[in-house]
Amino acid sequence: MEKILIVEEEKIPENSILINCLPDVGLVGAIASSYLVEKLDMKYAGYLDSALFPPIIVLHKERPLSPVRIYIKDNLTVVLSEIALPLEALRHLAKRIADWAEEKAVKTVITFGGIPVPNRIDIEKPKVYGIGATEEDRDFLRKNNVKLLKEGFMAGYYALLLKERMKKKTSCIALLAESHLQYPDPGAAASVLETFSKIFNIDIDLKPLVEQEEEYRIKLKELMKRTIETFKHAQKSYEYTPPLTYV
Amino acid sequence: MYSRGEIMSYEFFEIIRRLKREVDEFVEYIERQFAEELMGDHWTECIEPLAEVRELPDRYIVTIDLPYVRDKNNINIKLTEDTVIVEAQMYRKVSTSDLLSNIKKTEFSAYRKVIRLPHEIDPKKASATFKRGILILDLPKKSYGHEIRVE
Repeated sequence: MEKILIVEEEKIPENSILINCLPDVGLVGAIASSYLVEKLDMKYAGYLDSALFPPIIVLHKERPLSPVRIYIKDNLTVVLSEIALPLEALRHLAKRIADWAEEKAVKTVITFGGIPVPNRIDIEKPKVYGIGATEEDRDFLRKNNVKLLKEGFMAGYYALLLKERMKKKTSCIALLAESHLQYPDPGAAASVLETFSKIFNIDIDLKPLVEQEEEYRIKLKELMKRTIETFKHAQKSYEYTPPLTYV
Repeated sequence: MYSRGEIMSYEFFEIIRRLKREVDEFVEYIERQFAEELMGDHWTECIEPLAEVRELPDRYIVTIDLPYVRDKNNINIKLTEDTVIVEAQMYRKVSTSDLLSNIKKTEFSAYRKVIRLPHEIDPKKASATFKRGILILDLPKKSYGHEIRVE
């Protein structure tokens, strides 16, 4: 039996762009993906389940839902998680998402995240960097003036997802904004979405995200705490380590 | 005189009553723990903010995330040699129904955070800044070793 079950309640469009985000550094991906779903009025299309997920459901407008869900609109598919997942689940999830993306002939898998910077407090508008799994991805990012991350480690779910897509030689792009490590960072989420909207020509009104920044910070306080607990297991501290050799 | 059956049913219900009492107490305990952990202290109407303590060789840098705090005058910091107590007033009330819909409605308008430091600091040399809703405390350690020369 598959470790991760994907239940499609609507037809998932083929050849779409798949955005997959989980709570991580500064909750950048979690904030950006849920904002995208809300602002583009995306349609609920199914959910993911696994014995490896915590025993949690979430209520939205009286309706019990899985915290890991799928949303669709036009040529966009979003898979997001509202809860921090244990490391073991992440390994299986990355593999399952990569396989599923292939089944659905997804054009590219995109993930949003944060790069923790110690001086985030002095940064008015966080810069966005990219990582591309394939040479075409990196060319695409360069053409769109997204700076590529050159050297360093990457740890956590996004690392796993990139690795799984690399194995298949399929497209995967991580867009990462300078962010707080341990505080929810809606400003970084806005930067990431701005870059995304530019390179994929998708209109997103980012004003409310910036204006309601404090509301996000206070609401997401507990999720941030739980996410920080998972960093230790995901060896997040590696991201501050210079790599050994140059290739 | 009671019949054997009546005594047995009395005992049976007594056990049930005792069990129920214990379960109730336990549930109350869990609820209290849960509420305290999740929603700060009901009695002082305070939320515990997110905080980060970074230890450098000669000092601690403590940052505390204080959304909805607008003015540095609404922040109160007390330092002892090993404890930081920060209280801050928000400019608006936050209701738990904004945060969690399934828990009884309570309102908060202040933060309170107590941090115990592993090494003594010198409160007189400490300084604080408040920027973009984040409080930064610079807390020099009391004794930062004794310097010796390499012969």
